[in-house]
Amino acid sequence: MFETVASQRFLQEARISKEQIASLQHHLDLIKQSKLDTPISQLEQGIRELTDGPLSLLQDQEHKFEQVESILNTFRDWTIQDTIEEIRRHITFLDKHQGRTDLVLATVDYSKSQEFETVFLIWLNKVFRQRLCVSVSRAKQRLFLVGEERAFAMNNVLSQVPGGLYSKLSHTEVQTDYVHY
Amino acid sequence: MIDATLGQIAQLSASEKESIVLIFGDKKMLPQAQYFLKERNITFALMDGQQTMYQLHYVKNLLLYLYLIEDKMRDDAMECLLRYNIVPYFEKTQIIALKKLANRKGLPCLRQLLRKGSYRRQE
Repeated sequence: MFETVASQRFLQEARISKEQIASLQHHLDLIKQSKLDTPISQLEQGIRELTDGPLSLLQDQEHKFEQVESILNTFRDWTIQDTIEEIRRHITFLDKHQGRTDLVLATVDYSKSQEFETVFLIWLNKVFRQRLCVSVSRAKQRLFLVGEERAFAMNNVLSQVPGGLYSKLSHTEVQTDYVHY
Repeated sequence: MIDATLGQIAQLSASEKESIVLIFGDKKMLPQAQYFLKERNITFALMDGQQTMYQLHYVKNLLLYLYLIEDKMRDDAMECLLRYNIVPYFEKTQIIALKKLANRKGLPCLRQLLRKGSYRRQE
């Protein structure tokens, strides 16, 4: 059976190029060499050494690369087995609660056409013009705008909000303002 | 910032807590928020259509290695690896051909490819 798989005829039939085979070899070697108790850091090193692969191919997409890096940071000291289990737990957790409305997380783009009694718009600094309108109009009763102090100072309307409508909170790393309408 | 938001939510009455959405101006914060809430065992849902960080296609491309290390029989993961992580990318026709051959042999694609020397013969 193996002879058939490895035969020139098979490879020709599948039209796999030499370049693809050469690249595939590195990926498959990495998979073969890793075990479930291998630390993520070790697997990560192997993935980084791939000239293609999920990290190399994201190099020019900063936002996506950062997200992948952030996940690697979380699991770097974990084993592959523990990481898989944690990811499954996370997905199960979300599946279990999907559909509830008492606390929903969304980005501006995904909040369109939905309404909630209370809306918290977090990281106001990153929301401008139309996106701000989309976000604030999701609120039926209460709207909280949360962001760094300078985001409020830079906005013509928000900078004039009476003091009684917002509170200023200090954190160790970030200065945060609340505005409550 | 999320911690402060939770503090504000805690001050709402029970009826006011029935329908709350946290809209993130920067989508980079969403995965962090998910992790933050889950760590504190605070239940939440994602807006319809919103994906968990582990379901984003570029994150899934990384996780493929973990899934294949765990189970080399996973043809779905193998197919994604061939399509998205190998350059030059495998074309659909190539994958169909691989699958057909794998089916004929009664083997999953990866096992077939991992068989000793099967992918080294062309070097």
